[in-house]
Amino acid sequence: MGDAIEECEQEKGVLREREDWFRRLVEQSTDGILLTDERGAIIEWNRGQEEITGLSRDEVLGHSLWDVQFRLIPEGRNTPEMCEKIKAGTLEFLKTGQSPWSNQMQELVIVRSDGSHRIVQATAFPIETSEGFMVGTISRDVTEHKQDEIEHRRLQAALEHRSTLLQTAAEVSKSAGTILDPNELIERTVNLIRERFNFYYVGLFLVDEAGEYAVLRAGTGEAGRQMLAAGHRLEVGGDSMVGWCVAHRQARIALDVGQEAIRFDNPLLPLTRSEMALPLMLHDRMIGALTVQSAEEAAFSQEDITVLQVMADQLAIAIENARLYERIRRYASELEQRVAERTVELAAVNKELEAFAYSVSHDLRAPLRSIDGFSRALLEDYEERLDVEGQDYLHRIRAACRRMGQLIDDLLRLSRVTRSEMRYEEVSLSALIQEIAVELQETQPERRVEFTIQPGLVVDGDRQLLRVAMENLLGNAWKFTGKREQARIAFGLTEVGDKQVYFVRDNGVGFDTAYAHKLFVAFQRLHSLVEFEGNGIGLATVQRIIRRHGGQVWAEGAVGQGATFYFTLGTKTGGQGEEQSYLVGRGQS
Amino acid sequence: MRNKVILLVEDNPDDELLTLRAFKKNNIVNEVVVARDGSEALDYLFGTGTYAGRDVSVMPQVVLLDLRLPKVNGLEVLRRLRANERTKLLPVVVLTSSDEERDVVDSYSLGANSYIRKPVDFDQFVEAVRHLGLYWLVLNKSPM
Repeated sequence: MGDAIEECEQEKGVLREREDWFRRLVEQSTDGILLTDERGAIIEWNRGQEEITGLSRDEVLGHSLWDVQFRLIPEGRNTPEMCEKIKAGTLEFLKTGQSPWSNQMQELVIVRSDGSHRIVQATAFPIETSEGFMVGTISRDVTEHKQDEIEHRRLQAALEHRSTLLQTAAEVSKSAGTILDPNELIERTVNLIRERFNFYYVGLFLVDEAGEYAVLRAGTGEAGRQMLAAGHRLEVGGDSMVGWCVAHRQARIALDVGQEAIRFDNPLLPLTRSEMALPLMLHDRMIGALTVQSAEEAAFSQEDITVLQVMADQLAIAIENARLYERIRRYASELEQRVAERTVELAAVNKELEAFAYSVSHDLRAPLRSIDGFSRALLEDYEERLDVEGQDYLHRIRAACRRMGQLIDDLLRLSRVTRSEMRYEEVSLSALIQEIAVELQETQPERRVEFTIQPGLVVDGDRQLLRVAMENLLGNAWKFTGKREQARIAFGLTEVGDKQVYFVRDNGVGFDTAYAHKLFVAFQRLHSLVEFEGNGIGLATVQRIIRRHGGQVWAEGAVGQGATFYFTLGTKTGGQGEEQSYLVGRGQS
Repeated sequence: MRNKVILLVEDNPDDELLTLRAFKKNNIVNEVVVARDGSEALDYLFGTGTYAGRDVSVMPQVVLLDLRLPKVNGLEVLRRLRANERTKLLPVVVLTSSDEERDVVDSYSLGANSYIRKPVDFDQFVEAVRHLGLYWLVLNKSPM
């Protein structure tokens, strides 16, 4: 018996020892552990449970589970119905050991005794006894873990948002670089920004020329369409955000929250809760503003504002570029228009000139024919009644007629040089000069003139006109060497400065350099008619022909020492080798 | 062969007189009919207006045609001559002051047989008339 008692006492001691182990295990757990008796009264509430709920063991021991649970439900959800539901559920659990939440993890938000919210994962389980079921729960505070998760998600969202920002910025930048029509550029950009950021409305204003108004140039959606149609504009420096932004050259942001809350009163945009006006600036010049509106309160983050301002800057440059491009295009087309008009005018003037020349050709010559013809008739039919002096007068009249006829012909040729169309082809100047030299020699076979012609000089030009020019130059050289015993005329290519130029040189009477500038003026003569015939139109004609070929002509000379006429022919002058030029140069010396 | 008529279409009386003188100096003795504008020339050739009733089967040996004429100009006269069956082969020598390329080209393309520019120098003119007389009055076998 004593043994039995001792044994029993020993067993009790062992049990107490074991219970102590388990109690310490439960006590040490950071997870919350609670236990109720079969009536739902709390009989165990460990330190973990105290930590999680903020309720001490002493506060809850002996209280029913549902009363304590009810204290943990966050405000707003702790209704009497909820309370009843929890109590009924727990009673059912105690009775049957079954509940919708038994043996599975629940995640719930509780409010601690200090008012803070915690996220808790909990499992409830029944313990069967002879008197029914006890309820145990094990809970764990996962608030920190959950917050990490939320933070992670927030960061991811922020990253995505930033990616959208950058992408949009890139697209705006691309549009800015590729769209040259300012209107299209503006319209595309506002729509792009609105879509990508899911804003409520985006609009773009440009400052008018007087700097008095910011005029809406693009706006998204139906509101934008209506405002554009109405010619929506805002006074610079006025009450509007855009007006303020343009006047102060600064961004302005209004958020419909807190102390900064403002009233948005555009009837076309009733949902606006946040609005931002960003300046479009180019160097120091305000060209307009971008308005961005959101239906959300406090919609713009610092990052949004920064990126949108970068886009606005980019847009300002792009708009300016597009405007410049358009201006250039407009200038170009105006220029074309002007050229076309001028061409028509010139054609009309040309036609008039032609008519004039035609009439000169006919009407000035007709009376000359009469004068000459009847002078001749007088000389023939009345010869015996005219003395020598009378006959001499008539001869003079006829000579004058011839000169005037020649003059008219030369004038006509001069005008034709200007009027005729240029027909470019390869022309051998050397061959042309050779031909003319032969022709000149035939007019006065008795004269002895030594021609030195550099061979192989070929140019691009109008053969007819070049012939007229060369005839005049050679004709002059021929004429002004008329009194030389040993006349020399040379043609070739030489270098003057760094330019290759053609020359026609003679050893004739030359001219006074002081009058060189008068040589090429029509009707200017440096020699009297008695000395040399001529009407002073030849060199004017030469100059016109050379100029029509894009070249220049000038002369050098001295009285009694011959003359040299130099000319260039556009850009093609000097296409020949230097060797030939050198040979002629040597021949000249 | 009976000498045929020469039709001179010329509005300037001085030029008319000088042309007749040039004929005389070249011993051209054909009868010369002078029309003083384009419409008179057409009347003569087609037997209309003041020349109504003229025997149009008799055509001139040659027509000397000035270009600058009152009423109907020389090129128009030429065009109408060439458009008419009766006159389309009639020898026409354009005799004018102009040496504008346009006039020369237009005259030939409308069917002128020859184009002579009246020189200022009467001696040269006489020479030119001598040539045209020799060719059109003596050598040329008229199709008319």
